[in-house]
Amino acid sequence: MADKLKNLLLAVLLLIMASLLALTFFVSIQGSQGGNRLLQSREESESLVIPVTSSPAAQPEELALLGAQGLFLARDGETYDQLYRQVEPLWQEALGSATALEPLATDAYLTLLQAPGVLLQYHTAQPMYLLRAWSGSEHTAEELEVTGLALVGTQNEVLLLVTDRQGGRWQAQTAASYNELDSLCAAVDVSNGQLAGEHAVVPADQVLTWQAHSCAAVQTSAAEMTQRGELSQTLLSLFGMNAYLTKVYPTADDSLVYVEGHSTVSLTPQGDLTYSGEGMDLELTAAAGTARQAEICGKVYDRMSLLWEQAGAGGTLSLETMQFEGDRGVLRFGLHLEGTCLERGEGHWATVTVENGRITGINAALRQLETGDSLRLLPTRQAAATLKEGRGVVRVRLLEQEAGLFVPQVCFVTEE
Amino acid sequence: MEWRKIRSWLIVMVLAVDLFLAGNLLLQGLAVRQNERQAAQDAVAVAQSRGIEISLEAVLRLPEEMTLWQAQRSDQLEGAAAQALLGTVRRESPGGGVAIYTGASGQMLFRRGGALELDGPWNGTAFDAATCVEVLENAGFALDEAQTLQTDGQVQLIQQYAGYPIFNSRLTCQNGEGRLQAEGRWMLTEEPVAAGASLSRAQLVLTLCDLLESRQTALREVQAGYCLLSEDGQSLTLEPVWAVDTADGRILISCISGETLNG
Repeated sequence: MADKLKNLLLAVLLLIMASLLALTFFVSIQGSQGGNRLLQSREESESLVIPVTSSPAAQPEELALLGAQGLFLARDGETYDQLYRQVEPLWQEALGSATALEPLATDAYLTLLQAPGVLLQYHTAQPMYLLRAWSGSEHTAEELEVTGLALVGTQNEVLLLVTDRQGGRWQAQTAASYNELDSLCAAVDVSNGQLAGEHAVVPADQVLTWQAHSCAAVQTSAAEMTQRGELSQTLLSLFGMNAYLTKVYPTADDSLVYVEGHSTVSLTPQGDLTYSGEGMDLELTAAAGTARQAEICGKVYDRMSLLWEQAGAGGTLSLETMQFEGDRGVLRFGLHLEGTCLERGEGHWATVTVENGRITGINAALRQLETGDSLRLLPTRQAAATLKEGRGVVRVRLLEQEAGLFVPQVCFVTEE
Repeated sequence: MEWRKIRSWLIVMVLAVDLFLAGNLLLQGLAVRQNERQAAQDAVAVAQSRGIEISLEAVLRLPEEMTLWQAQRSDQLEGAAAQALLGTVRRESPGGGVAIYTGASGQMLFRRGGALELDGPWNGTAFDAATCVEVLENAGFALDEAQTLQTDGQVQLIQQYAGYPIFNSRLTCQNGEGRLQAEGRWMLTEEPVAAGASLSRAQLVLTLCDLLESRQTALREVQAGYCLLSEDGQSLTLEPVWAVDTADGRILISCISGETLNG
C-alpha cells in the first residue's frame, strides 16, 4: 500500500513538474521581445477574420432633430458623430419593426413632421430593402429608392416616414421606443434651422440653416501603406494572396504590381489601388434575390472598411450606388468625413465588382485626410433663397479644387 | 530495494524542482505586476509634467485589467420574466430586436441593448426597495449584487457585474394605482463569455491625460465599471470603462479602445 502511494506521489509530482515547465516556458516567451514578435506575427496572420457586422453601409449626409426649441441640424463633425451614435439604435429599431409601407399624401407628411422627430437625408438614393436588411427586418421586398427617412413621435408611438426618389411619401407604424425618441429630442436646447416649407426649388422638408458655420478644408495625401512603400502580409491576405508566393514588380511610374497566379494588385505612389483576379469568395449564404444582394453589400462593405483601416486611409466609406445584372454587381462607394461628403473630381472613392459571389475587381483611392483652414459658409437658407429654377436640394460638401485639396462649399444638387 | 531508494530520491528531487519552478513563476508574476505598477506611475508622472493632475492612488485602486464580456439576449429568460410578472402572456416580435409580451394584467417590452418597459400588477403590499427586489428576483432578475436607491415613491436598481457597476444599466420602478411600472436597461442573459482584455492602466492614464487636456477640464474622480452596449437586436456587450467625473460632467472611456463612449 505504501509502495502504491509513493508511486502515485511520484507520478503526481512529475505531472506538476511538466505543467510548471510548460507554464514557465510560456511566461518567458510572453515576456521576451522575440517571443512577443513571434506571438504578434502569429496573431497577425491568424487574426484577419473579416468582421461580420450589421452596420449600415450608407451614412446619412444630413442628420437633424426636431425638438421643442425647433430644428437642430448636426453641422460639425463631433456633433454629427455623437448624434449618429445616439440615433442609430433608434432608427434601426424603427426600421426593423416597421410594418409594410403605406402611401402618404405630402400634406399629411408635412403635418406629421413635428417634435419629437429625427430626420435623415442620404447622399444618394438607397434601396429600401437594403435599409430593412441592415436593421434585421423581414420586409425585404420593397422596391423603393429612399432619399430620406424621418422618425416622428405621435400619440405615444413612433412613425417611420419615408421619402422616395420620385418625391413620393410613405409611412409605417413601428415598435420603436417613443420615450427614447422623446428624451433624445428633449435634450435639444438650441435651434439652428428650419424646414424649407413652401419653396419653388427645394423640397418642403429640406433642412435649411439660418446660421453661418465654419467647415474645414481637407488636404489628402497617399495612405500610410503607400508611404511605407509596400503591401503588408495582412493586406495581401485580404486579397487572398500569399505573401510568400507573391512576386512584386516595380513599374516605370514607381507603382508596385503584386502577382500571384491569376490575381494582381497594383499600387501607385498616389495611393490608387487596383485588384483583379480569381476573386475573393464572399461565402454567401442567401441563394438569390434581394436577400443575396443585401448580403453582398454587407460583406463587401465589411471588407472595404477593413482595407481602409489596414491601409491607414482616412474617412468613412458610404455606399452610393449598387447595380446588378444577374449575378454580376458593381458597388460604388463615396467617402464621408465626420458627416460631410468628399466629392472627387474623377469618379468614386471605391468601386467593387462582384461576380458569382466573389469579388473580382477593386478600384480604390486610398488617402490620408488632414483638416486645414476653416472657411465660413453662407447659411443654407440664404443660399436656397437665391435659387429660382430647377428642382434639387442644398447641401454642404467638400469639393475637390486642385489635386488633393477639398474645399467646403454650399452646393445645389439636382437629379442630374 | 534499490528501486525504492531511487524512487525516494526521485520524489525528493522532483519536489525540489517543483518548488523551485513554482517560486520562479511567483517571482515572475510579481515582476509583471511591479512593471505594470511602475508603468502606471510613469504615466501619471507624464500627465503631471503636462499640467494634468491625476492621483496615483486613485489610479492604483483601479483594476490592472478588466475583461470584455459578450452575451446574447435570452428569449427564455425574457419570457419567464414576463410570465412571472404578468401571468399567461402572448409574445409578439415585430422586428428590430423588439419583443412584446402581453397578458391580461399588463404588458412587458424588451428592446435591443437590454432596454425594457413593464406595466404590470402590484401585489398590494407596501412598495419599497425590499419588496420591489423580491418581486423582480422571483421573475428571474439577478439582483444580489445590485445597488438600490429609494426616493420619493421610486426605487432605482443599479446593476453590477463581477463587483463593478454597469453605469448605464438601471431600472426605475414606481408604484401607482396598484400597478408596478418599470423602465430602464438590464442585462437579462445567460452567463456572458469573455471576449477580450482591456488596455493597461498606463495606456488609459495617457488617454485620460489627452482627453482632459483637449477639454481643458480637471479630474475629480475616476471609477471602474462597465457599460452595456449592443450592435444589433440580439447581442449584448459589457464593455469595461473608466467613469471619469470632471467639472463638466461624467465621461465614460472604453478600457478596450480608449474611445469616449458618451460624447
